[in-house]
Amino acid sequence: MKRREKIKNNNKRIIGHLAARSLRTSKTRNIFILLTIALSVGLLGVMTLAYSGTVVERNKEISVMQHVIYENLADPQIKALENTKKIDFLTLAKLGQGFEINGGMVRPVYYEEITEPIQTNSICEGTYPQNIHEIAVNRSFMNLMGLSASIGETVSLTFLDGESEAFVVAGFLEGGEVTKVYPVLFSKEYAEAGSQLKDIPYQALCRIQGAEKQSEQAFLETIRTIGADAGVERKNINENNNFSSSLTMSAIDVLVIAGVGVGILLVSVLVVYSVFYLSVAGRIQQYGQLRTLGATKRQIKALVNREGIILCIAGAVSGLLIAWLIAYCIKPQGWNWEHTLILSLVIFLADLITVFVSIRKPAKLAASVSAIEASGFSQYRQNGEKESKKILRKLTPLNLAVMSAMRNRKKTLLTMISLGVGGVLLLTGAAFIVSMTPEDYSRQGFYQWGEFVINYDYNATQTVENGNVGIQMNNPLNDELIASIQGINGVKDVLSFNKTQISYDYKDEINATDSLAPFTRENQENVKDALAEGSFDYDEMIAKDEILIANNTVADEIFGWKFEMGDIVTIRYFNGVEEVEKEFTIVGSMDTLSEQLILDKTSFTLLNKMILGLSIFIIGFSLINLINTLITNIVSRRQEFSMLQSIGMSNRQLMRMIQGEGLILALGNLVITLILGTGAGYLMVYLLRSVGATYMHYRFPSWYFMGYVLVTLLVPVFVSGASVRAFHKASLVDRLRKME
Amino acid sequence: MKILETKNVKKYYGNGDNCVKALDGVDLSVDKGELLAIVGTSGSGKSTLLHMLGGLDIPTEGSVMINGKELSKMKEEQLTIFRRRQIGFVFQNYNLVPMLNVYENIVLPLELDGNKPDRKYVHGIIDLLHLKGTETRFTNGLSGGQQQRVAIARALASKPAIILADEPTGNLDSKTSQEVLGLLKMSIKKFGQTLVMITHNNEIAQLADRIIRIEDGRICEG
Repeated sequence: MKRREKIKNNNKRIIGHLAARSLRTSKTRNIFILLTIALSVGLLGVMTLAYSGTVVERNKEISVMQHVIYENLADPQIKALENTKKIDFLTLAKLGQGFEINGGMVRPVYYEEITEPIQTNSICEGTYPQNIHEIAVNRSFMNLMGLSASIGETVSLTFLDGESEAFVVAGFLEGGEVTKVYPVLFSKEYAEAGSQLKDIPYQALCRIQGAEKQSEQAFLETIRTIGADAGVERKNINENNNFSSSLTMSAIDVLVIAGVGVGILLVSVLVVYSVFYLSVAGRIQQYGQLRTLGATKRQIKALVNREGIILCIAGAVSGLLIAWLIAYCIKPQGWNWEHTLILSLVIFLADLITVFVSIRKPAKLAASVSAIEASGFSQYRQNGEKESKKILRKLTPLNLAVMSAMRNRKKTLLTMISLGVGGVLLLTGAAFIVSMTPEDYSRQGFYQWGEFVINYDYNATQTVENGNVGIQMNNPLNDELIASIQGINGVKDVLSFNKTQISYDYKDEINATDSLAPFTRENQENVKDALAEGSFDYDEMIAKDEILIANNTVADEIFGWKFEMGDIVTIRYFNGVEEVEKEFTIVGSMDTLSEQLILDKTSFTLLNKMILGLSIFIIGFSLINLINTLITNIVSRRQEFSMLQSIGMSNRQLMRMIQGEGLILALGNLVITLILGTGAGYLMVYLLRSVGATYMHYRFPSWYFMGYVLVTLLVPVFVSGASVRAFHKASLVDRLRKME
Repeated sequence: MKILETKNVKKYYGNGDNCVKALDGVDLSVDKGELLAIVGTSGSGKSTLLHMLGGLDIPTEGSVMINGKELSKMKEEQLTIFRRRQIGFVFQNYNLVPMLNVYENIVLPLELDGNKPDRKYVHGIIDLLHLKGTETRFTNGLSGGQQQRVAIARALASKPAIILADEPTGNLDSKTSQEVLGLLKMSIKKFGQTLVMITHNNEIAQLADRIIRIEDGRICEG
């Protein structure tokens, strides 16, 4: 009877045993691999968890906010909204005309006493205003008024219309320690009958049923339908942008994180690969022995892989724990176990794949060695050269260093690249930090051109006849004033911006107010650059009464339509003598950067903080990578150095040689860092500028680079000294004998 | 005239019950110009003794004197320099530097000492050891026997006072072994050198002036 015997290769236990043994005998290498893995995992973890924390925190904030505000409501509309089933919760509020007192903007408001689940500034002391004479304010408001912050104090308010009314402070509102707008909360009675609020229509803050589960588009659709059914015009539907944008994850944020994540993984592939490569090459004889003893190629591969997996798990777990700690410290409010565990698992898998990719080649190398080859194997064998060109080269320690680097080109290059990637990351991170100085950041908007903005008094624009134009008739900001400001010592320049108030009719908007701004012939190229739609000719614009629309996308957001090219807009304005009505043709539209900037501001500060934190972490990462690689390079060659010493190389000569090698690596690294790092930093700033971060200006991070150069050059000096000293703990013979 | 002398040299590894006595009180003296062979079973302490003689290892107890100088009293740096000038080593595993070619390996101790090699002399050694034509080759491309001969050439190149060789003919066929030993003998005669070698080969040992046998870390014959 024929029986085919299946060759059983049940070797799980012995492979596991060998791997564990091997790990125990090469502690130095393990520490460096662990460090690399823990660092990359930690970096990925901090980045994603901090982002997730930000999202969670924002969602927590949003969960106590309204989804939409229906504005400008009359009684029947309020009734209709109250009867809408899709509205989970509705609360009424009024926002009065603001006015200035002692440099602070004061805003009369009314909202209901209990507005849960929507958070409003609630009363933290005293009571909610009950009758027409009672108000509730921030404590800081009392400060602004020069009064003592106590309940029962009488406050006299002079409104825009010049009327003064006296109120009793019934309660204090939460928060508002640092503010420029001071709310004054009035009673329901005042909202109905008080002079400042009675003519202001109500607005309804609503939370919509199941809105959290909808897409942004479906949500907008829902609130617009609800509005239309209740007879609320589109422009009076004000969705909570924070909420609606939270419905779709920001693609840019995710892309940034994914990009940086892939970069970090690539760096760790390089580092883990080179460390494993060196380690495998160093113990090739052992693998040869195992092969002679009957280990199959597959078993050797499994052995190396097993070592990698064990190190990967240990490194990843410690990296993740560190990341959890840091992420929690960054965003304690945003901690969420479910997100944390899922993200950690994803990162863990990504890193496991990274390690597999990194040790694939070293494992193959280990498996491919036959017993005979192994005895004569040297890392230098990888290089095809069999002969040198010269019979005798200069054998000074420095020359030996050059020869070592040249003879082992692959390893030298690998090390340089591994260092270089870290350097490039460092320079890019540093470029971000120095390119975004707080000054530039706070100089967004008008402040990018100057330190002071002089404009009309708000109360005046609201009260003077014909508003802005009324003041412009007798413009206080005239040439004389400009000249006198320019005359002040220290003033470099005065820039003027002009606009005038108009009202217009277009589509369903009748008598809508807006402003009109001119641009000069010299400026037309800039305007042309910003043009998103249409085209113009400066002279024709004047001759044919043509206009350009700024921020057409904003119109789309508010009204649900855009200004179409070729359409006619009827514009009315006060020309100083009388109200004039004139028709203009739309010939172009543009989306100016500054407007975009305001829209994206919140998300930018968020992104900025993240990149800033990331840059600092990356700088730390690349420094540790640098030290790691340099130390590995020295420690893994202990035997080679002992050999040189056994035939008469003195400590001093050995140190000179090691330092020379460090110098060669450093030079290669610095060239890579300088060229690619500068390019990457410049590109990053360019990209950030192109998406609106105009406050970024590329600056070469010279101090960081100098620091990096110093560390790159000094670490080999110190490490070589320390290792030569450490070598002496064991006698030369012991060192010669030891494989690792 | 004594060139090399050890007094009660002991080398212990570990302590207590685990204590291994690699050398247990070796007293030995070697005269200038002598060819001494050390034999013994593996693990008897031959290599350890050789390392002690060359200052590569430090004895737990006792002293090693070369030319009246006690090695353990020298500073690390001094010892290294002393070693590369006075002692030529032939290691069992060759210890050749892979980034250097054959010629460079041979003259490395001289170069490290800042000396110009005596080219005529070095080429003479290369001829004798049948290494002619391999000068510019890298050592990892050579056979075991060739590498052994490079290691011997390196030990001879700096004309040291003492040559310490661990199985110098271990990888050589018997004909080459005889030739190599002939060369070593000729060299010590010409330059008044002393040779201490470890060997397993009785024929080779018989060519020595004196044979000592080591067992359990002690000299038991010789």
